[in-house]
Amino acid sequence: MNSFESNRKYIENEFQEAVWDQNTGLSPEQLSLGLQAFQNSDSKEPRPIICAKAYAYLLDNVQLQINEHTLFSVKMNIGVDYSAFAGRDIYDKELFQKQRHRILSRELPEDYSRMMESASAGVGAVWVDFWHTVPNWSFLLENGFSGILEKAKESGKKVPEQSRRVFLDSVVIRFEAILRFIKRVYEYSLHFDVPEFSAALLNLTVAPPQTLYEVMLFSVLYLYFEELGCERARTLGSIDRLYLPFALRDLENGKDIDEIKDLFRYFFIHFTASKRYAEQPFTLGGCDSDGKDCTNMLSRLILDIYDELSIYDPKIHIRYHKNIDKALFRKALSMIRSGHNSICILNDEAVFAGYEKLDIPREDASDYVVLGCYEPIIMGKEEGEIGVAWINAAKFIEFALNGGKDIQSGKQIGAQTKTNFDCFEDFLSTYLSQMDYAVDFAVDFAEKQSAYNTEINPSPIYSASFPECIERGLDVHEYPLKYNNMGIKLFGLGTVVDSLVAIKKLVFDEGRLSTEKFRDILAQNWVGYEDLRQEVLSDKDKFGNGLPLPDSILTAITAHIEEKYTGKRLAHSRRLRIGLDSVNECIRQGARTAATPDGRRAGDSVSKNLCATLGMDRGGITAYMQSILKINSAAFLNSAILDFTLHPSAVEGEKGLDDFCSLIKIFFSQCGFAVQGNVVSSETLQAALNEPQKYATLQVRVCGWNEYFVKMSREKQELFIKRSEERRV
Amino acid sequence: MIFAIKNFEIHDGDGIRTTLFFKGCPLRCKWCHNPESLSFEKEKMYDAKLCVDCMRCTKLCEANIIENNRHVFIRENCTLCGRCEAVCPQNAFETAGIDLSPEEIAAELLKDEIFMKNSGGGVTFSGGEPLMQPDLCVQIAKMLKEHDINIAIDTSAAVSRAAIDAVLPYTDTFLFDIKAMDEQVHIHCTGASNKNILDNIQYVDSVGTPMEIRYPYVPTMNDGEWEGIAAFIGKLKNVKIVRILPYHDYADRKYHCLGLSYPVPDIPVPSVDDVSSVAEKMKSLGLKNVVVG
Repeated sequence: MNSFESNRKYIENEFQEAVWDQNTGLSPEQLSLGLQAFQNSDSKEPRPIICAKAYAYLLDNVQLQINEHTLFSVKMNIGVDYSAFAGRDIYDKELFQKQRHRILSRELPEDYSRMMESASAGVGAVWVDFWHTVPNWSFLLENGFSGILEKAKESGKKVPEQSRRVFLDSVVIRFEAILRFIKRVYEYSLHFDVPEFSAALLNLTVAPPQTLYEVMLFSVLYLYFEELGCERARTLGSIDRLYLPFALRDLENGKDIDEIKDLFRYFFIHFTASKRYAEQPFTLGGCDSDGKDCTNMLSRLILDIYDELSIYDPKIHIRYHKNIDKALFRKALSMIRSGHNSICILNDEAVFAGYEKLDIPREDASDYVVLGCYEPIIMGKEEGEIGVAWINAAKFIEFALNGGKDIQSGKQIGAQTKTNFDCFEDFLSTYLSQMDYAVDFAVDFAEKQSAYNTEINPSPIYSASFPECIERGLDVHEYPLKYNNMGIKLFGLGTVVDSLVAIKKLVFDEGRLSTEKFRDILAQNWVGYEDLRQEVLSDKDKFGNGLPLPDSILTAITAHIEEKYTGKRLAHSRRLRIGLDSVNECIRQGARTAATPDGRRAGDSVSKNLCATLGMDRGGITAYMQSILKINSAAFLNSAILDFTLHPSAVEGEKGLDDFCSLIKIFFSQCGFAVQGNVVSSETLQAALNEPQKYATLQVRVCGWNEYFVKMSREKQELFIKRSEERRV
Repeated sequence: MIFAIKNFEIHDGDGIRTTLFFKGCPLRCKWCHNPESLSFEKEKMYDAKLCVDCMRCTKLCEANIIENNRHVFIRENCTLCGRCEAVCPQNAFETAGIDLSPEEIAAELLKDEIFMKNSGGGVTFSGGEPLMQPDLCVQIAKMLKEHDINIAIDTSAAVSRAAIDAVLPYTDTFLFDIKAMDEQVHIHCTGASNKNILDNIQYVDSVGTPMEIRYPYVPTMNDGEWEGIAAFIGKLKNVKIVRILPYHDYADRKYHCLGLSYPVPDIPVPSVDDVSSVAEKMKSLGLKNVVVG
């Protein structure tokens, strides 16, 4: 095999440019027809068995491609561009979505219809969350595909109940299909010059992975196998800890460190090539329950390789604690500074405090890994369903002003509340009532829906990663794990706080507008009131600047959420986890939200995550941190991320890096939850040049001081971009 | 009077700092990058390039009028009422100068106490020339010292000995500028002699307060001064860092916003190599810890 560097160009577009060997199986169209037959059959077999057979059919017949330039050679033709694969393949279309709709329409008709209606009005939807799984990687690596199959067969002989045997039978059918598939790929691979790949495949058909390469190949295949059944493992786990014994064994057996590094190069570029942002991140570092640092030689090696490859996927989650390996922490921040936007750092202490709120002790919490965007899950012990609902908190401003009516449709979507208010506190309380009404419904609906999870989409691949599921014959959605939780997200708090400030000032403090008048202005999307809108926008009292009024409103809202919802007890001993991030729902739901009193126009995005409204965090990063620190992060285990933006020049030099490290450490010492740095690219500077009002707070280092980029002259802005690019080169 | 408070400033002293910018300066350095800091009075900054002629401000006062269907700002008519800033969608207006009491300023600075204390940072008084307002400096410094905040003063030293003496008890570090050793060059560049400045620096050195010396390196203006400056610094005992600040030309917009013309439009920006070579030459004259930027 040629060097990694010469192979790289053949890997980076391998998913998009795959050429399928028609002789290896059926086309996606034929597979779709086959799957439809399973979904539409009159079979009286239990759902897990029908799905397992459909799954086996898919694996037995899917077309293959082998790429000789990589160590992770195989790809499957599942009918969509791989970048759209995640949960959106033909199995998803034919078996999952149709089944969900069929079951919910039949079993929960009124609730389902209400959920759909509030989703289309911009409140946010309730999902079944099979897309944020954290398999027990330790158990998987220990047993391999063949070991798990054997365990499932053994267990099937012991469990008395029919339903449990059905689950185990479904595991057996799927894992037998997996082994057949690996054998098939192995035989096909013999036609190509991929000897290492072939040998590793052969071993995986009979044994757990033995070498670091086999561990990586196993992980890649397992991710395929989960996704093909519409589950999505959203982290590779703490790979420094998980992979260390294998790397050490390789070294003992004569591999050198350069070969280990090369394995990571091929492994990471495989994920980069899939071009799916942040789908399967991994975790590094962290402490054990005694506070001892768990960083090892792989943690540093992995960061070095990642830096060298200059990639953005897979995303990295680093666990910070006060005894963190200083070199690792400094390296991570130096990488953020040099443009790595996909490094997120979580604070162990804040996460442990969050778990304590759910009565989960540090001994268990210290095993957490981070999945998806930034949500902690205790690997092997917790089923989290972290994203059953993304709820748009800004929508309740519209409802509070309009007695629960959606402006666009005129329909009563929110609670019927009063429309005249005695004082600001009265309005705030109405706002919170609207929030409660929506959140109560979302949680209640998600709970009811959970009862049908195993019927909607049995999860034997994911479930089989847990010894508890295999031993007891239970799907993971029947909650056999030690901790079973459910998570929702509430987003748009920047828009909410700024809107409440505007209402307080204009309506209640200054008496310049009545609530009726403000309601009308917003219903007309500020048309005819542009001066007022500008006045509101230019008001300094905005969330994210460490200012007393906005921060006190933020605290009132988050304290209310904490009291009412954090750790709320649900059926099956589940507890509710709350997060405050939005992903792209801020745009999607914002598009369905009427104008808000903060000056936002109808249809514009509401504020993202816990960010200030775009361009409104004028007080700088420490002031923004002060605002975020007003939130009790322990109450928001499901994420309370601080996104910061900086231009690398603002923290340049060794002193800059020292101070950058201090800044993050201080934030964490105050129990800040997590940070993600967004380093400004030339494209962003260009955007700032065109839309200065949105980038009012962007600072760049000009010489001996920082300067607001938008305040430089156009000519000088262009010059700065050019010079920064030259520096970067 | 002050004109800005900036947090997370890491280039004006140790650790994470908040910099307080005082308004008003006795010098008129031709390359000054903070022209809004020169006058001791409040000023209106207006960026005509941002204006889209929406005419909102023209309904408010006599300083904003319409001429040939275009908005025109008449500086002489401006009473600094600030109403234009509240309505301008383009943020074309800004007031340089903030009315805050010493107590309010100290409270604002202390918001970042935790960042200062845990990073070895503090507050830097800058400007303008902070020591032209020694009473205000002392009032604020006293309140900061109650919280044991590290204070650095970034000063031109073109001030009275009394002003220096007033702040000495509260100052942990002085950041001094030396623009030129040759008096005529200094007068040409800044409009004032450097005698008092150099005396003041020697005086502070004799007292023993740690200092950083900054040399703004401006081609065609004072780029031949490095040797004399190095010799002067070599005789001082308490200089911890010598920092060369290369000239940049990013400040022209601010001059236009103040209705001023940029005094030195043709000065070339020095190359990285030029500045590094000056740093090396200063080191070769025995100076330690010479840094750029």
